[in-house]
Amino acid sequence: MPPLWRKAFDAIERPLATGSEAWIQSDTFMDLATHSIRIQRKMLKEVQQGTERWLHLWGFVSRADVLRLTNQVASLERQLRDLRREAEPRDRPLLNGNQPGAHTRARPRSRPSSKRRTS
Amino acid sequence: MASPPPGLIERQILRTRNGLAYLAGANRPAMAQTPRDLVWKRDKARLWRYRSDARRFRPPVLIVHSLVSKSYILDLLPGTSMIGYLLGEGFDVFLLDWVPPDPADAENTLETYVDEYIPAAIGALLEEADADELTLIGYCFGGVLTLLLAAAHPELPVRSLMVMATPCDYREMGFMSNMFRSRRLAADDVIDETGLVPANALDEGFQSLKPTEYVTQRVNFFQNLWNDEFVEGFLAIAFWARDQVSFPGGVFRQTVERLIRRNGLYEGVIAHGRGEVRLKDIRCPFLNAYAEQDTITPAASSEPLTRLVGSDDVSELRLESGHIGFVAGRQAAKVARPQIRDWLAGHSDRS
Repeated sequence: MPPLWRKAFDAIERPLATGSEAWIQSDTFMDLATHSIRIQRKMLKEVQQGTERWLHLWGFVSRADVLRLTNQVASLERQLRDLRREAEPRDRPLLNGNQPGAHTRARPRSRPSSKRRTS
Repeated sequence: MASPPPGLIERQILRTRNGLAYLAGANRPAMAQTPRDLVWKRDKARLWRYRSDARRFRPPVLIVHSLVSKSYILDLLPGTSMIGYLLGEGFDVFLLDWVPPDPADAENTLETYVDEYIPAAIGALLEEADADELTLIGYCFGGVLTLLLAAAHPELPVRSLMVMATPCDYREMGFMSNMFRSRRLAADDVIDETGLVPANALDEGFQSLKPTEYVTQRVNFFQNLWNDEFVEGFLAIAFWARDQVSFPGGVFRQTVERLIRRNGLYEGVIAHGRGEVRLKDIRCPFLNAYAEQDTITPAASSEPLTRLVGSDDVSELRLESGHIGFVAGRQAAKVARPQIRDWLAGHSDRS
């Protein structure tokens, strides 16, 4: 048997939960969320660009510089992986000689419209 | 015989003790304690084999974990661990999980996992276990990967396939999915400069599915703060739920286009590589396990899978629990696990 305070909480929370779950699925909320996400991204970008200019003025390294380096290292690692992949396919008995994705069917040039679902 | 629940005063004392321990951060439970060995590794993919002296069933079982969370949910706490349970029942359990991605993984695609990592891990597993075939289990987005794998690679020796809490109909996936489906957001709106979807974006997305859940969970926690077992389970699950990982941008773009906008899994035809794969090409025995109160992968999203695969041996397990009800909690121990065990045993051989 839940205590009284819990019953009171549930009496408030349940309708609130139902209402808020319906509200976040509404077009109005989704439009607001979209704008909010875009504005946040834009503001963050402007703050970062401003900070970067200021840091560079004083000869400091900015977040963008570190990111550029990180992405260059990542790109090198991807190239190494590609080289390894090229060296490997000859040694894959598990796939019985088939290339990966061997069972995929060629994609038709245009999909029948009946197969598509629109929101 | 179970001891009677403590009285009011005793509860207050226990609540105070556990509350102070919680505030001091002293009662964080030890998770993922089942002994295991790393048997194969490539880039961020890792294949683990769990130690056991009581393996009775063949073929070995491979659990493919999701890309959106950490795999210790499958081995959360000693005594309630899904992996521990399967080991105890005599299965030879392997787990394929993923180290959280870094920018080098940003361009990974579904094909990277389906055509490269998972087949290679299966090869390593068969060699390690000295087996000719295996049983495949996919959890959450890992289920999507196993479905694509089974459809694209019928040459792989998969004896049977089970998916747990796996999304199919993305129209039923709630707010975040609808944002992309309605084209309000593009995939690149949430991908950062490193090419990854940041972990906090996923966390916020999951939280938005049930806005009042955060408060309700804290109230449940306070109400049961006197109960050591509840506190341990709650803290473990709460820690895991917040311990999100980034998601590779390449896979995310494909997820938005192929799975959310085209709703490929529900249509039964998913673009893959230079062609497409069909769920009807999955011919092995199939179990679709999903949860009635799942807010992350709602039952309405998982349910259609049962009729979309081409197998003649299709079963369905519908549970009265939430997303992690398969793998943690009382529901898992009482209902989910014995049924999963029965299905797995029925599709295995005793050795």
